[in-house]
Amino acid sequence: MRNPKKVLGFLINPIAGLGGPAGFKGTDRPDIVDKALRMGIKPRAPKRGYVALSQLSKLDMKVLVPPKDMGYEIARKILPPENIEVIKLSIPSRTSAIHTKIAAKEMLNRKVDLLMFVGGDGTAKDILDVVGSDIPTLGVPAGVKIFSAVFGITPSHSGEVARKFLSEGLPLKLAEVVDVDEEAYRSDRLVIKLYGYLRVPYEPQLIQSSKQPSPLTEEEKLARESIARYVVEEMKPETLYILGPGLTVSEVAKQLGFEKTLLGVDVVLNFKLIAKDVNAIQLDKLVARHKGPVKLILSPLGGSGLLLGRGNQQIGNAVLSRINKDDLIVLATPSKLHKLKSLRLDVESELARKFSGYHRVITGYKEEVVVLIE
Amino acid sequence: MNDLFRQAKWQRERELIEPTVFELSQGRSEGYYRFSIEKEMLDAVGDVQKLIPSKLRREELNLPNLSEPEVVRHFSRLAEMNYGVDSGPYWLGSCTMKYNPKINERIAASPKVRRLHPYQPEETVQGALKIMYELGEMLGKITGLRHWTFQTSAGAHGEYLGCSIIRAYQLDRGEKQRDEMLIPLSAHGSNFASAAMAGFKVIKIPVDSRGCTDMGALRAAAGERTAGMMITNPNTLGIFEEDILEIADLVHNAGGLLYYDGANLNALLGRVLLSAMGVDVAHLNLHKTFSTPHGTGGPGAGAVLVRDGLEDFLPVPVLRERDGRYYFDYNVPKSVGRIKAFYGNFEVLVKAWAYLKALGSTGLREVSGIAVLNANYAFTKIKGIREVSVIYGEDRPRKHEFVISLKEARSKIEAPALHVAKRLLDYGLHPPTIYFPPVVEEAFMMEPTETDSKEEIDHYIEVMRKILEEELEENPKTVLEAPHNSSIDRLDEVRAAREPILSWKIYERYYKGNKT
Repeated sequence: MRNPKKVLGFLINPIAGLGGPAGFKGTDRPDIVDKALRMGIKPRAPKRGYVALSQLSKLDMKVLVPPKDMGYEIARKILPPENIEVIKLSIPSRTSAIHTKIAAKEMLNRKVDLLMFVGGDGTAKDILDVVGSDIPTLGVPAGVKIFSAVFGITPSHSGEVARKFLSEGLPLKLAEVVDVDEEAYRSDRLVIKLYGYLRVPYEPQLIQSSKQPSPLTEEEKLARESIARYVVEEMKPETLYILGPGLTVSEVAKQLGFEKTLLGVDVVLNFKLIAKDVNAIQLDKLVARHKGPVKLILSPLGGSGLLLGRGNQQIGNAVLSRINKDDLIVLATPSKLHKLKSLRLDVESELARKFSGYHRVITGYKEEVVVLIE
Repeated sequence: MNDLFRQAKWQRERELIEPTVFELSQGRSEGYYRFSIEKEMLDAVGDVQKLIPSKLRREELNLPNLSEPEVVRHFSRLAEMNYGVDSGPYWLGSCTMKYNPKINERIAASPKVRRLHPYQPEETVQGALKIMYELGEMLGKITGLRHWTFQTSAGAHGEYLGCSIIRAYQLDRGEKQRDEMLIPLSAHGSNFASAAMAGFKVIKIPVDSRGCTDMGALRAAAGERTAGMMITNPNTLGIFEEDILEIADLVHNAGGLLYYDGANLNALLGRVLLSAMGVDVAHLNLHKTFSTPHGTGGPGAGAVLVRDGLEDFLPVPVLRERDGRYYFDYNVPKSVGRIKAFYGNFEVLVKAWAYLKALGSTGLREVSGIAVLNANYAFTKIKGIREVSVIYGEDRPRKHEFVISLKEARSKIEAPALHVAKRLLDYGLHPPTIYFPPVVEEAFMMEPTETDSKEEIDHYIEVMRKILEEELEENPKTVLEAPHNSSIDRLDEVRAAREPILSWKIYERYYKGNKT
């Protein structure tokens, strides 16, 4: 007999996101995990899973979790023991895709009401391989890049959607899971393919849209050039400029006379490139050493409007704590911005508070639009 | 298909619609006029060739060789293939394409107007100056802004001058750092370029769900670098900016001036003073609101008006009156200088003057009343048509125009606004402004003005309904391939914009030998 209580499958990919601050742009290879951990990068997936699951603490439901850091350790901090059921699965200290798949398979067999997983695009692919569109799923963003449309905008948004879905019900929608070629990505090329569809609770305000690639039209190119020209003109000496990923920002570097890593984070001081493709630790050091002003040049992720926390985790809390809202130089071509209602952040709540509110986005030469950062 | 409307189509060959006068005269050696120089004169002058330096001498005069009737017929044929406010409804939103009363043309055609020369001494043109002065006084009463200039010959020209005045004012106060112009995304489309042209940074303010300026964003944007704000009210969505007083306070408290774009003044004539809305500088489009022809119908005229305290920045010369005598004052020390040769498009000013004299203040109030009524009548009916949606402030009343979205029709055809606009041509209706403002997808911006009758408005609505509800359903191809009944079908708009051919010389240079 089926338990009348709703059942949530909750699964964490504990290594998700490790490659981000380390500047590896992904975490798909075991050696990357080792390197990242040796560098002192702390796993972020469990913490983000905690934030998401906390939103559901008041629901009278049952949670099905894999053991240890794949779910149980977080679940027991939030939920009473009688509501937690642990999947029988032996997992090593270092998990991989296979463990995600086994756990997901069990959740599919048990027909959970919702499978909430904590990870990135790679994790979403693993889930899709096993469950297809048979059961409702929802991603908690914890990976390096989140280009698929199956994630909440932040972990707490994911938790909010899950809570709504389990308590009040929400319509379901097939949402894209994309496959990003991580080797190509590491060599600075963005190759995105549609991998398949997961069934996701439909809540457009809280769920991230899939990444919209920047169009390569002549008009867009001109727009990027005029933006970059203005940014370079306004640049000041003795100011440390951190250049985030993306085509628009890389145009700024081009106008300064060097090629920027398209998908990495580069640093400019006195109009010269001083560090290329830095990781979080290198960046923290550079920023700590610099006594003058620090400014961050970013462009939002097309489609979702996410400004921080996606594909730029090299820019960590230390940097973000040092700078103020006025130090955020946001660039977007008019056509990209036109499709976004507001800009979003996926950073810790204290930082989110600091950077939220109305902000100017540079959309052309001497042209700015006031946009809300939520 | 609509069988009632067929536009004239004069064709020579299959692909050649009414050739130019040069093409018409090709292969012909002489036209109507022939003149010879009398021998007596030649003898007196001597060798003519020696009189003119060789560099300035031309061997051949490239003039078309046509007779007078041929020329008249050529232009008549072109006129027949044209469409204007005299042909039928012309709901080109933001342009106020109202009927241009013929009496204005008759007055402006008087030799007393036509035969003036800008270099004539002031004493000999007192009547003309009086017309200009009276027009300025009338516009001052309409707006509450008492100082004016007529030098600018278009709306955007007026905007540019307005921006220049704002800059001059800020520099005069020693506020050099004020280099930002705040412009809501619902402002008239040319404001952004005008401000940039005048050297300002353009700070765009978004529109909220009401269709009005987002006050939070405006508050965040206004500051010590604000030189001014350019507002259009009612805005480009046809909605009255209800926070206008707060907006004016905000801009003034930040140290800026409020600029008013007169594109949509037709909604407010005789109803509210711009000065009461806190406006400091404004331009009015005489060629829109005050019924003088425009849209390739003739030269325009922008009047720029300023409140007390800003008159010292107006361009020279300023027209003044003393003891019943009118004169141009060039001694305006803080003036932004000249913005155009002479004094503006005088003929256009005469037409606007005649329009205002004919209407009087009561008539003017009726103009705005009927314009707003017509727009709301059409809006109410059109928003009920299938495939039509309203993005901003659906339940709010409109002023003189309204914007609808045809994005729902995307399920039937791509780019519905473009195709439906082309299809309207087949019914003898000028389409509305499309894809503007950009904050509305598949936008149709419609402005019936006060001069269309209820029958004409009903006809326009019925055609819209027929295209959107019947043709898109039953025969989308007809819409996709429209127009079918006009003199020309689809222009290559991109190429026309990228390779403008504005004269026969350019045409010859680029296309001789490889005519396409």
